Amino acid sequence: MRDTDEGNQLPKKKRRLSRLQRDDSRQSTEAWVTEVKSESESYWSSPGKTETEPFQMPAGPDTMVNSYGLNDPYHQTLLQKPSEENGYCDRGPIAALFNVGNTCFLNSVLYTLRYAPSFLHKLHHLNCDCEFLIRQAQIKEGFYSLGRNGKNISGVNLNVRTQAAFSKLHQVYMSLCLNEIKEREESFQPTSFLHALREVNPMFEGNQQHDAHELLVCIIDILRETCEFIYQQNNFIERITPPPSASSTSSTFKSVMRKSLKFSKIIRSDKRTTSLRENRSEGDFEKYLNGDSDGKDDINGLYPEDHHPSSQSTLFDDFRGVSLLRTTCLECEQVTERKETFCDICVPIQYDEEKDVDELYQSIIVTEEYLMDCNKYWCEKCLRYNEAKRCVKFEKLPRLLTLHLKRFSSGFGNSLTKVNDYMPTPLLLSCFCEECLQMKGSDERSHFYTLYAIIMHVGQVSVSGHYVAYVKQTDQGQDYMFCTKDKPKTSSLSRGTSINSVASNSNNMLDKGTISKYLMKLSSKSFNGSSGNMNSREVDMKNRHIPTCKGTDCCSIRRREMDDSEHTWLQCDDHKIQPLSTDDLLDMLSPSAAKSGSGTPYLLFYSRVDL
Amino acid sequence: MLPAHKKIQQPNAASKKVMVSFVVRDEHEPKHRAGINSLQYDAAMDRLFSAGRDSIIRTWNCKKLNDPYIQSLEHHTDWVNDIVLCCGGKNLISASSDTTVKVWNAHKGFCMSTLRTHKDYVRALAYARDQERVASAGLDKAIFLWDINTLTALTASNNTVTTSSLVGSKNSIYSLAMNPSGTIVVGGSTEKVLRVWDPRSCQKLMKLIGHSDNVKSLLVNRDGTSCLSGSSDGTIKMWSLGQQQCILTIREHKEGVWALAANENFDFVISSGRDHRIYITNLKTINTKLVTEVQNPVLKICPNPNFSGIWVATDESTINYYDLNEDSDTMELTDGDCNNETIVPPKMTIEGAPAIKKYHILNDKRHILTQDSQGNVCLYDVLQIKKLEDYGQIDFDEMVKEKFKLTYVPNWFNVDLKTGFLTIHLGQEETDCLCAWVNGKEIGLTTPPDQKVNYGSVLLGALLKHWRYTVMEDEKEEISKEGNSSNPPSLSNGVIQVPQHTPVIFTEVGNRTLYRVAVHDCGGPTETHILNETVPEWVREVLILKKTSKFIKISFYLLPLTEVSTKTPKRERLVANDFVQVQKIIEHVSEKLTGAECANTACPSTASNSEKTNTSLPETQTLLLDLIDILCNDQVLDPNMELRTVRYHIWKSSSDLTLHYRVNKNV
Repeated sequence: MRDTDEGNQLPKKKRRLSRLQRDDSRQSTEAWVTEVKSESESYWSSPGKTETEPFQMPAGPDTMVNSYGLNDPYHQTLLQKPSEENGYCDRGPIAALFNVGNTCFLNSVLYTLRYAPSFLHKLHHLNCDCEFLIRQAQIKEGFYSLGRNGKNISGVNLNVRTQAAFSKLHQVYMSLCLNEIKEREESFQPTSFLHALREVNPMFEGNQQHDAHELLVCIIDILRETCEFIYQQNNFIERITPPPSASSTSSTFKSVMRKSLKFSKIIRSDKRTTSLRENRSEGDFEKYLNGDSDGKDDINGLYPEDHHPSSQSTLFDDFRGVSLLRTTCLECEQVTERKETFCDICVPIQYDEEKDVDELYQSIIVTEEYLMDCNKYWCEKCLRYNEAKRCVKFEKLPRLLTLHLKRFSSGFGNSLTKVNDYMPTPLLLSCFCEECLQMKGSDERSHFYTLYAIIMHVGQVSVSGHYVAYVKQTDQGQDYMFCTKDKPKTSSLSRGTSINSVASNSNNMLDKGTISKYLMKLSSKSFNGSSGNMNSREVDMKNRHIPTCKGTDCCSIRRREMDDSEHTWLQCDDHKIQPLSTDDLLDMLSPSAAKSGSGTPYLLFYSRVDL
Repeated sequence: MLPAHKKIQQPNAASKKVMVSFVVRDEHEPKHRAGINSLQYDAAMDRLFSAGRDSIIRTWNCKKLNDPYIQSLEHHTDWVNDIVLCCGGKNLISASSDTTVKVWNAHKGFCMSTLRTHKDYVRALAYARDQERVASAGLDKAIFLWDINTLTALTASNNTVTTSSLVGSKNSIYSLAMNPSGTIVVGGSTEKVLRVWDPRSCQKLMKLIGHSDNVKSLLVNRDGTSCLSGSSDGTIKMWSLGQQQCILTIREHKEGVWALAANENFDFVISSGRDHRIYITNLKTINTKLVTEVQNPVLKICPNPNFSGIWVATDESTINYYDLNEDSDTMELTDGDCNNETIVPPKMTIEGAPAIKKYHILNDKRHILTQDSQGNVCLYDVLQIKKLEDYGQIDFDEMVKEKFKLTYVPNWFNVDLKTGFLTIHLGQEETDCLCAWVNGKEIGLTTPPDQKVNYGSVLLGALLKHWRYTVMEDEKEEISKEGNSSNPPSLSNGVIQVPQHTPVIFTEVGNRTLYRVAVHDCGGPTETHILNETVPEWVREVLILKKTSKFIKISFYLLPLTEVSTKTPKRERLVANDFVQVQKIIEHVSEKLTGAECANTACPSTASNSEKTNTSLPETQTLLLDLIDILCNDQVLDPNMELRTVRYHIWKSSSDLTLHYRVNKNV
């Protein structure tokens, strides 16, 4: 219902967006764009409109439409004097996200992902592939279904809701990119993504604060499903026979995937995971654990090691690690191992001043515990409950490692209490994968982790309080510079059409050249050392030689000159973005700051640096 | 043979959940049925004591090895983990995973007392010969010291015993050692360190760090100056307690070291463990040689006094004796010598019996197929508590398939194989144990036709028959004293015969055994007294107060099968007992269709109702069966099929069962 309503109201700007999209996906999205086009995209570009018709929620029966927005004094002041507080104006604004009512949990995660190394670039290509494949599937379907109209191919297709959410996620970053290119001061309102998200997971319905971690898990899951879809499509698109039901595979896969790693120390106090514990004591869980879990097979089936489907799945792979659960019965000393995929590691707050930071995290994360007392282990060899030793090790850590500090635990009753204790946030973290741990000296280790973002939580309860993201500005230009995905051939082809389309929409001067020029200017600076005083023709010439990824024009972060290393960090508090120096950040992360209650690190984001 | 069972739990024990179990076994079990955790050799009598995982301690005559079995010491209900022979072979102390320590008369073979101080599996014992003291330790991290002379003097009236405990262990204790003079106690745990105490003062003396895994075997020399430890990390370490450090590490074993034996002066040590290999190491020259390689992981090595040979216990039920050949001293040990020459056959063998390793409960929830460690497949009857058939070494899964019956009875018991015997745990809750109703005649009872009996209550009645009788007699006396003449309890109804030697076990949740009693002993005065305190309240209600448990109801829809239904008829929701057979529904349909006889009371919604309607003559019944078909999921149902079977095997859904009926016009 709402689709049609809003379809009628689509502002002209929207067309521009879809144009851009089309360019990027090598005109592959004509049909798809019109079909999947968001209901409420209009909000992103027109602040005036938001005032008149604020943030409609999807057609949920009891949505809290209009209950915030206008009533939110915070919001109103912002509308009156948009983005004056946005610092850094001298070098062009940094695109900001607007709090559309308790959505700081959403904004903080979106900021974090935006600044995750290589994330946007991979997202761009994932989106291209996704759109391309969906169009392909539709064409094929159209071909084969002649005469049997309306036959659904949902078995092959990506879940429509997931697909919409993924597309909306991409659009968020497109819009932010656009804002930066156009040097717009206003903040973007990620309402349409929020709607799509609620379609995927009703948990996020209602105008309430949510756990940023839950959201992150949900977004990564969307990415996983999308990557999975592309992998399957790549495998099966050429076949006439439909591929095996995607839903069944993904459900088992999901069951393993969705679990983030929990540690027993928490499990005991964590209501949400007690069921797991109970099962275990029944022995069923153990059987499940030992019975070389189906989930693992599925993972292997989908992603055979060292045989990844080009780069499509790597976006999800960046978040995917493999843990190893090794259980040894203390009577017969039989060892059972189980591998499990995870996307974040839950870290209980157990600060120990005596340990150095690496040691601390390692000791908390790489654990060895005993299954004892009422929680003995069902040994299949001894046919009884015995004590057992259980080790958690990490066979593979993801490129983008997320540490989830266990700040919220269920206390008495159902209330979640927050642990405000200090926990150090190291800027650099030694790797603790099994391979690295086996190497005695830290010099031999081949990689380490560097902090790229933090989500801080201010307040006492997870469902209230406030989330603020701190992100590190890193130069991601090289991803685009050396991207070989867009080969010159296709590049020139799409370039031609893009010029055509620009010509046909003469009022729309936003062609890809603008940002390319900007990028080239910078890149020529950094790589050639020469001044970037080139005209557009030169840029075009240069573009033909250096394969520049079109992602730069689509959803990238605008590169800014960082003349000094003073302000490498950004404090992203909804629409307010403040640059911070590393020292400022370290001050904020110090134990004294933690005591002052200004906020506690909740989610730590690290990226792997290979030596 | 009446075990003095003094320290029965406190009154509040009744409030804890108690599980009733029993063991399916022969009256005499002269062979071990599972692995053997410990051995003790009585040189004076030339007898061997073996502590079985089958919960039984057995005595063997080593002079008569063609028929060595002397007797069984039966009172534990779980693995016996360790035994020590004390008082010059007069008494035996045993530690078990049933959380108890028991004191036995070793010669006569009866249990003198039971110590219930430990809260988890008791894993290890240590004995100070000169002091007649014994220490017990377990997974509850506690070490208790016992004076054996006090323990053996315990009687029913004098049943208090004081114990001192050694505290400080942070982890579960797996090994324990004490020197003969009782000046030093060493404990090995999953903490990976050895902790040393002075048992006289109960003071912690030291902590020895060095192992990288659990310590499973410990020895202390005569004067308590050094100590040998065998660990799951595969090493054997010798420690100087004076220097408080490791002075020797032997890395011969490839896997965990589980068993050590040495003379009191520590001239040499014999070791074995998970890697099946038995080594002897001269501790002066540090010269190690392989004694033999055995078939299974070694749990205990028991040398005879002059160290001319060793008894070896493994996780298999057979005990072997190997000579320690003096001549082979010259045989140098080379790396990785796995050739057959190293496998010396045992000189003597005490044969064991196979343990049950696998089971499958048949759909009738009465018969169990099992497979033992030798591959033999057997069929057991839970209700008669006996083995019905031995099929020999055949394919287990094939047999499971062959025995498949299209029927469904709810689960009312669990099976446990930890002792190698078939142990049946009845459902802990009333609702679990008493959920299975079947036809009385099916299980061979002389009940009126169509009388339903409950598996759980029938079996409980048989197991506790003597106790029930005693209790009811007592009550009758009281009643007659009061002059009341209420209806006398009848015992005739629904009684089945079970083997009278069957042990009945009452366990608190968490594996703490409260009481073990044979069926035929249940009526004795002591036993009745203990049972009165131990039997769960719901069992008492069922047996004494004759409380019948509720039937399980299944609700379903009954609709006419129409070719194309344009209008959906009003769905009639019916409720019936889960054991109601399809033929009752056919009768209901016919009544509904004819509407003549009992138009008002057509619905078989209660059991009594459906039973009363069974007045029609057999001829008319068969006629009805031909006339009306009941279908579920497009499948015509057998009139003898029970409703629960239909739901479980044919409907296969948790939603309300939907049945269709069809009138056969051909007939």
